[in-house]
Amino acid sequence: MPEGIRRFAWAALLLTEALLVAASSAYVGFGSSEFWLVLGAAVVAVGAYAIVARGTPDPKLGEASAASERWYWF
Amino acid sequence: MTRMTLFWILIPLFIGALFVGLYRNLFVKLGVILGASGRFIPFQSLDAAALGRAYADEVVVQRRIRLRGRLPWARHMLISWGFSVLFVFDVLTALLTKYLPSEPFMAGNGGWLFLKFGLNLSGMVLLVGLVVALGRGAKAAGTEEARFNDMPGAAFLLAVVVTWFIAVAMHFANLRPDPSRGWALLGHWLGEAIRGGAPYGAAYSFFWISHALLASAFLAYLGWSRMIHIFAAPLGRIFYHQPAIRDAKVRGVMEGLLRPRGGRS
Repeated sequence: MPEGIRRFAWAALLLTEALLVAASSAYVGFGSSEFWLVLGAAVVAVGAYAIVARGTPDPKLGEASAASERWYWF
Repeated sequence: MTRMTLFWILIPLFIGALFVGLYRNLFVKLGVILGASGRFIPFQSLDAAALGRAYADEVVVQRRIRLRGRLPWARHMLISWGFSVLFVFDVLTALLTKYLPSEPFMAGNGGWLFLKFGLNLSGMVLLVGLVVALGRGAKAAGTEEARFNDMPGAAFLLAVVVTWFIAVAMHFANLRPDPSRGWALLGHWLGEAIRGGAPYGAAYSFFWISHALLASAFLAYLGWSRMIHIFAAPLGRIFYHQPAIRDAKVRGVMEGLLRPRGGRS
Protein backbone atom coordinates (compact mmCIF):
# COMPACT_ATOMS: atom_id res chain seq x y z
CA MET A 1 0.00 0.00 0.00
CA PRO A 2 1.33 3.46 -0.86
CA GLU A 3 2.74 5.22 2.18
CA GLY A 4 0.48 8.26 1.64
CA ILE A 5 -2.74 6.21 1.98
CA ARG A 6 -1.37 4.26 4.95
CA ARG A 7 -0.51 7.52 6.73
CA PHE A 8 -3.85 9.10 5.87
CA ALA A 9 -5.74 6.09 7.25
CA TRP A 10 -3.72 6.11 10.47
CA ALA A 11 -4.06 9.89 10.89
CA ALA A 12 -7.83 9.75 10.35
CA LEU A 13 -8.24 6.98 12.93
CA LEU A 14 -6.01 8.60 15.56
CA LEU A 15 -7.59 12.03 15.10
CA THR A 16 -11.12 10.64 15.38
CA GLU A 17 -10.31 8.59 18.48
CA ALA A 18 -8.53 11.56 20.09
CA LEU A 19 -11.54 13.80 19.39
CA LEU A 20 -13.89 11.23 20.89
CA VAL A 21 -11.81 10.89 24.05
CA ALA A 22 -11.59 14.69 24.36
CA ALA A 23 -15.35 15.07 23.78
CA SER A 24 -16.13 12.37 26.32
CA SER A 25 -14.37 14.32 29.06
CA ALA A 26 -17.16 16.93 28.88
CA TYR A 27 -19.57 14.21 30.06
CA VAL A 28 -17.54 11.93 32.28
CA GLY A 29 -14.97 14.43 33.59
CA PHE A 30 -11.28 14.45 32.73
CA GLY A 31 -9.34 11.98 34.86
CA SER A 32 -12.41 10.26 36.33
CA SER A 33 -12.59 6.46 36.43
CA GLU A 34 -15.07 6.58 33.52
CA PHE A 35 -12.67 8.74 31.54
CA TRP A 36 -9.99 6.04 31.82
CA LEU A 37 -12.52 3.48 30.60
CA VAL A 38 -13.21 5.64 27.52
CA LEU A 39 -9.47 6.06 26.95
CA GLY A 40 -9.03 2.30 27.38
CA ALA A 41 -11.73 1.66 24.77
CA ALA A 42 -9.94 4.00 22.35
CA VAL A 43 -6.61 2.23 22.98
CA VAL A 44 -8.26 -1.15 22.34
CA ALA A 45 -9.72 0.19 19.07
CA VAL A 46 -6.35 1.53 17.93
CA GLY A 47 -4.66 -1.76 18.94
CA ALA A 48 -7.22 -3.79 16.97
CA TYR A 49 -6.66 -1.55 13.95
CA ALA A 50 -2.89 -1.98 14.23
CA ILE A 51 -3.25 -5.79 14.34
CA VAL A 52 -5.56 -5.80 11.32
CA ALA A 53 -3.40 -3.36 9.37
CA ARG A 54 -0.32 -5.48 10.03
CA GLY A 55 -2.06 -8.76 9.21
CA THR A 56 -3.97 -7.73 6.09
CA PRO A 57 -2.03 -8.57 2.93
CA ASP A 58 -2.38 -6.31 -0.08
CA PRO A 59 -4.89 -7.90 -2.47
CA LYS A 60 -3.80 -8.82 -5.99
CA LEU A 61 -4.44 -6.10 -8.54
CA GLY A 62 -7.13 -8.13 -10.32
CA GLU A 63 -8.93 -8.78 -7.07
CA ALA A 64 -8.82 -5.11 -6.09
CA SER A 65 -9.86 -3.90 -9.55
CA ALA A 66 -12.74 -6.37 -9.70
CA ALA A 67 -14.18 -4.70 -6.62
CA SER A 68 -14.94 -1.64 -8.72
CA GLU A 69 -17.36 -3.70 -10.77
CA ARG A 70 -19.65 -3.81 -7.76
CA TRP A 71 -21.90 -0.77 -7.83
CA TYR A 72 -21.19 0.23 -4.27
CA TRP A 73 -17.45 0.32 -4.66
CA PHE A 74 -14.87 2.84 -5.88
CA MET B 1 -22.67 4.06 35.48
CA THR B 2 -25.02 6.30 33.50
CA ARG B 3 -26.42 5.60 30.04
CA MET B 4 -24.25 8.35 28.59
CA THR B 5 -21.09 6.93 30.15
CA LEU B 6 -21.78 3.52 28.67
CA PHE B 7 -22.30 5.17 25.30
CA TRP B 8 -19.00 7.03 25.54
CA ILE B 9 -17.14 3.81 26.34
CA LEU B 10 -18.71 1.98 23.40
CA ILE B 11 -18.38 4.65 20.73
CA PRO B 12 -14.52 4.51 20.38
CA LEU B 13 -14.88 0.74 19.88
CA PHE B 14 -17.52 1.12 17.18
CA ILE B 15 -15.48 3.82 15.44
CA GLY B 16 -12.48 1.49 15.61
CA ALA B 17 -14.58 -1.20 13.92
CA LEU B 18 -15.51 1.34 11.20
CA PHE B 19 -11.85 2.11 10.51
CA VAL B 20 -10.87 -1.58 10.52
CA GLY B 21 -13.63 -2.17 7.94
CA LEU B 22 -12.49 0.78 5.85
CA TYR B 23 -8.91 -0.48 5.97
CA ARG B 24 -9.76 -4.03 4.90
CA ASN B 25 -12.45 -3.17 2.39
CA LEU B 26 -11.43 0.16 0.94
CA PHE B 27 -7.94 1.43 1.72
CA VAL B 28 -5.97 -1.71 0.76
CA LYS B 29 -7.83 -2.00 -2.55
CA LEU B 30 -7.44 1.68 -3.27
CA GLY B 31 -3.76 1.41 -2.46
CA VAL B 32 -3.20 -1.47 -4.88
CA ILE B 33 -5.12 0.19 -7.71
CA LEU B 34 -3.46 3.57 -7.30
CA GLY B 35 -0.04 2.09 -6.66
CA ALA B 36 -0.19 -0.13 -9.75
CA SER B 37 -1.50 2.48 -12.13
CA GLY B 38 0.60 5.36 -10.88
CA ARG B 39 -2.45 7.57 -11.04
CA PHE B 40 -1.30 9.96 -8.38
CA ILE B 41 -1.37 13.59 -9.35
CA PRO B 42 0.63 16.36 -7.74
CA PHE B 43 -1.46 18.84 -5.78
CA GLN B 44 -0.63 21.63 -8.26
CA SER B 45 -2.22 19.62 -11.08
CA LEU B 46 -5.52 19.37 -9.24
CA ASP B 47 -8.29 20.87 -11.38
CA ALA B 48 -10.42 22.71 -8.82
CA ALA B 49 -13.18 23.50 -11.35
CA ALA B 50 -13.45 19.81 -12.33
CA LEU B 51 -13.48 18.88 -8.65
CA GLY B 52 -16.32 21.34 -8.00
CA ARG B 53 -18.33 20.12 -11.02
CA ALA B 54 -17.83 16.48 -10.02
CA TYR B 55 -18.92 17.22 -6.47
CA ALA B 56 -22.03 19.07 -7.68
CA ASP B 57 -22.95 16.36 -10.22
CA GLU B 58 -22.15 13.25 -8.23
CA VAL B 59 -22.81 14.28 -4.65
CA VAL B 60 -25.14 17.29 -4.60
CA VAL B 61 -27.61 16.45 -7.39
CA GLN B 62 -26.52 12.86 -8.07
CA ARG B 63 -27.04 13.02 -11.84
CA ARG B 64 -25.84 9.45 -12.45
CA ILE B 65 -28.56 8.04 -10.21
CA ARG B 66 -31.10 10.27 -11.99
CA LEU B 67 -30.33 8.25 -15.14
CA ARG B 68 -31.78 5.16 -13.41
CA GLY B 69 -35.15 6.86 -13.07
CA ARG B 70 -37.02 9.48 -11.11
CA LEU B 71 -38.07 7.25 -8.21
CA PRO B 72 -34.65 5.67 -7.49
CA TRP B 73 -33.14 9.16 -7.69
CA ALA B 74 -35.78 10.71 -5.40
CA ARG B 75 -35.42 8.04 -2.72
CA HIS B 76 -31.61 8.18 -2.87
CA MET B 77 -31.72 11.99 -2.57
CA LEU B 78 -34.09 11.74 0.41
CA ILE B 79 -31.89 9.20 2.15
CA SER B 80 -28.50 10.76 1.40
CA TRP B 81 -29.54 14.34 2.11
CA GLY B 82 -31.67 13.36 5.10
CA PHE B 83 -28.76 11.40 6.54
CA SER B 84 -26.15 14.09 5.82
CA VAL B 85 -28.17 17.01 7.21
CA LEU B 86 -29.22 14.93 10.23
CA PHE B 87 -25.56 14.17 10.92
CA VAL B 88 -24.67 17.88 10.71
CA PHE B 89 -27.51 18.82 13.09
CA ASP B 90 -26.46 16.00 15.43
CA VAL B 91 -22.94 17.39 15.63
CA LEU B 92 -24.24 20.97 15.98
CA THR B 93 -26.59 19.92 18.79
CA ALA B 94 -23.79 18.18 20.67
CA LEU B 95 -21.45 21.16 20.20
CA LEU B 96 -23.89 23.96 21.00
CA THR B 97 -25.76 22.33 23.87
CA LYS B 98 -23.04 20.20 25.50
CA TYR B 99 -19.48 21.22 24.65
CA LEU B 100 -19.81 24.95 24.00
CA PRO B 101 -23.16 25.61 25.68
CA SER B 102 -24.61 29.05 25.18
CA GLU B 103 -27.88 30.57 26.34
CA PRO B 104 -29.71 30.73 22.95
CA PHE B 105 -29.27 26.97 22.53
CA MET B 106 -30.52 25.96 25.95
CA ALA B 107 -33.84 24.09 26.18
CA GLY B 108 -36.83 26.16 25.09
CA ASN B 109 -34.87 29.04 23.51
CA GLY B 110 -34.85 29.99 19.81
CA GLY B 111 -31.55 28.27 19.00
CA TRP B 112 -32.70 25.08 20.72
CA LEU B 113 -35.92 25.08 18.70
CA PHE B 114 -33.91 25.64 15.52
CA LEU B 115 -31.76 22.58 16.32
CA LYS B 116 -34.84 20.49 17.11
CA PHE B 117 -36.49 21.67 13.89
CA GLY B 118 -33.42 20.73 11.82
CA LEU B 119 -33.04 17.34 13.52
CA ASN B 120 -36.69 16.43 13.10
CA LEU B 121 -37.08 17.73 9.54
CA SER B 122 -33.98 15.89 8.30
CA GLY B 123 -35.04 12.82 10.29
CA MET B 124 -38.46 12.92 8.62
CA VAL B 125 -36.88 13.28 5.15
CA LEU B 126 -34.66 10.27 5.91
CA LEU B 127 -37.61 8.31 7.28
CA VAL B 128 -39.68 8.88 4.12
CA GLY B 129 -36.75 7.90 1.91
CA LEU B 130 -36.15 4.69 3.87
CA VAL B 131 -39.81 3.68 3.92
CA VAL B 132 -40.08 4.25 0.15
CA ALA B 133 -36.82 2.35 -0.44
CA LEU B 134 -37.88 -0.63 1.67
CA GLY B 135 -41.40 -0.71 0.20
CA ARG B 136 -40.10 -0.47 -3.36
CA GLY B 137 -37.32 -2.96 -2.59
CA ALA B 138 -39.77 -5.55 -1.28
CA LYS B 139 -41.92 -5.10 -4.39
CA ALA B 140 -38.99 -5.34 -6.81
CA ALA B 141 -37.18 -8.21 -5.05
CA GLY B 142 -35.48 -10.57 -7.49
CA THR B 143 -35.72 -8.22 -10.47
CA GLU B 144 -32.93 -6.36 -12.26
CA GLU B 145 -34.16 -3.13 -10.64
CA ALA B 146 -33.35 -4.59 -7.22
CA ARG B 147 -29.66 -5.01 -8.13
CA PHE B 148 -28.88 -1.61 -6.66
CA ASN B 149 -30.91 -2.08 -3.48
CA ASP B 150 -29.37 -2.43 -0.05
CA MET B 151 -32.27 -3.76 2.00
CA PRO B 152 -30.29 -4.74 5.14
CA GLY B 153 -28.61 -1.32 5.22
CA ALA B 154 -31.92 0.51 4.73
CA ALA B 155 -33.64 -1.61 7.43
CA PHE B 156 -30.75 -1.01 9.84
CA LEU B 157 -30.91 2.76 9.29
CA LEU B 158 -34.71 2.70 9.64
CA ALA B 159 -34.31 1.06 13.08
CA VAL B 160 -31.87 3.83 14.07
CA VAL B 161 -34.31 6.56 12.98
CA VAL B 162 -37.46 4.97 14.43
CA THR B 163 -35.90 4.37 17.87
CA TRP B 164 -34.74 8.00 17.87
CA PHE B 165 -38.22 9.36 17.10
CA ILE B 166 -39.77 7.15 19.78
CA ALA B 167 -37.18 8.23 22.37
CA VAL B 168 -37.72 11.91 21.47
CA ALA B 169 -41.50 11.52 21.65
CA MET B 170 -41.30 9.86 25.09
CA HIS B 171 -38.96 12.59 26.30
CA PHE B 172 -41.37 15.32 25.16
CA ALA B 173 -44.36 13.46 26.59
CA ASN B 174 -42.58 13.37 29.97
CA LEU B 175 -42.34 17.20 29.92
CA ARG B 176 -45.10 19.73 30.52
CA PRO B 177 -46.92 20.71 27.29
CA ASP B 178 -45.27 23.60 25.47
CA PRO B 179 -46.67 24.88 22.14
CA SER B 180 -43.26 26.23 21.07
CA ARG B 181 -42.07 22.62 20.83
CA GLY B 182 -44.26 22.41 17.72
CA TRP B 183 -41.03 23.30 15.86
CA ALA B 184 -39.87 19.78 16.73
CA LEU B 185 -42.39 18.50 14.16
CA LEU B 186 -42.73 14.70 14.22
CA GLY B 187 -41.04 14.37 17.61
CA HIS B 188 -43.57 16.83 19.04
CA TRP B 189 -46.56 15.31 17.22
CA LEU B 190 -45.69 11.81 18.42
CA GLY B 191 -45.04 13.13 21.92
CA GLU B 192 -48.49 14.72 22.06
CA ALA B 193 -50.05 11.54 20.67
CA ILE B 194 -48.59 9.38 23.46
CA ARG B 195 -48.89 11.94 26.26
CA GLY B 196 -51.69 9.90 27.82
CA GLY B 197 -49.25 7.12 28.75
CA ALA B 198 -46.68 9.45 30.37
CA PRO B 199 -44.44 9.39 32.34
CA TYR B 200 -42.22 7.00 30.43
CA GLY B 201 -39.35 5.87 32.63
CA ALA B 202 -38.02 2.43 31.77
CA ALA B 203 -39.48 2.54 28.26
CA TYR B 204 -37.72 5.86 27.54
CA SER B 205 -34.42 4.43 28.81
CA PHE B 206 -34.89 1.34 26.67
CA PHE B 207 -35.48 3.32 23.48
CA TRP B 208 -32.70 5.80 24.27
CA ILE B 209 -30.16 3.02 24.79
CA SER B 210 -31.45 1.09 21.78
CA HIS B 211 -31.04 4.18 19.61
CA ALA B 212 -27.55 4.96 20.92
CA LEU B 213 -26.37 1.38 20.40
CA LEU B 214 -27.96 1.03 16.98
CA ALA B 215 -26.61 4.40 15.79
CA SER B 216 -23.10 3.53 16.98
CA ALA B 217 -23.28 0.04 15.49
CA PHE B 218 -24.48 1.53 12.21
CA LEU B 219 -21.28 3.58 12.02
CA ALA B 220 -19.25 0.37 12.43
CA TYR B 221 -21.48 -1.35 9.83
CA LEU B 222 -20.64 1.32 7.21
CA GLY B 223 -17.18 -0.13 6.65
CA TRP B 224 -18.35 -3.74 6.29
CA SER B 225 -21.36 -3.51 4.00
CA ARG B 226 -22.62 -2.00 0.77
CA MET B 227 -22.97 1.17 2.79
CA ILE B 228 -19.25 1.61 2.19
CA HIS B 229 -20.41 3.34 -1.00
CA ILE B 230 -20.98 6.45 1.16
CA PHE B 231 -17.16 6.77 1.18
CA ALA B 232 -16.13 4.87 -1.94
CA ALA B 233 -18.57 6.07 -4.61
CA PRO B 234 -18.14 9.86 -4.29
CA LEU B 235 -14.39 9.39 -3.92
CA GLY B 236 -14.19 7.32 -7.09
CA ARG B 237 -16.42 9.60 -9.13
CA ILE B 238 -14.62 12.77 -8.06
CA PHE B 239 -11.28 11.05 -8.61
CA TYR B 240 -11.98 10.04 -12.20
CA HIS B 241 -13.29 13.50 -13.08
CA GLN B 242 -9.76 14.86 -12.71
CA PRO B 243 -8.38 15.38 -16.25
CA ALA B 244 -4.84 14.36 -15.17
CA ILE B 245 -6.13 11.03 -13.85
CA ARG B 246 -8.37 10.42 -16.86
CA ASP B 247 -5.49 11.18 -19.23
CA ALA B 248 -3.17 8.86 -17.29
CA LYS B 249 -5.78 6.11 -17.50
CA VAL B 250 -6.21 6.55 -21.28
CA ARG B 251 -2.42 6.65 -21.72
CA GLY B 252 -2.09 3.44 -19.69
CA VAL B 253 -4.70 1.67 -21.83
CA MET B 254 -3.14 2.90 -25.09
CA GLU B 255 0.33 1.83 -24.00
CA GLY B 256 -1.06 -1.58 -23.08
CA LEU B 257 -2.68 -1.94 -26.52
CA LEU B 258 0.45 -0.87 -28.37
CA ARG B 259 2.77 -3.15 -26.40
CA PRO B 260 3.67 -6.30 -28.39
CA ARG B 261 2.19 -9.42 -26.81
CA GLY B 262 4.70 -11.85 -25.34
CA GLY B 263 5.87 -14.64 -27.70
CA ARG B 264 4.46 -13.06 -30.87
CA SER B 265 6.92 -10.29 -31.55
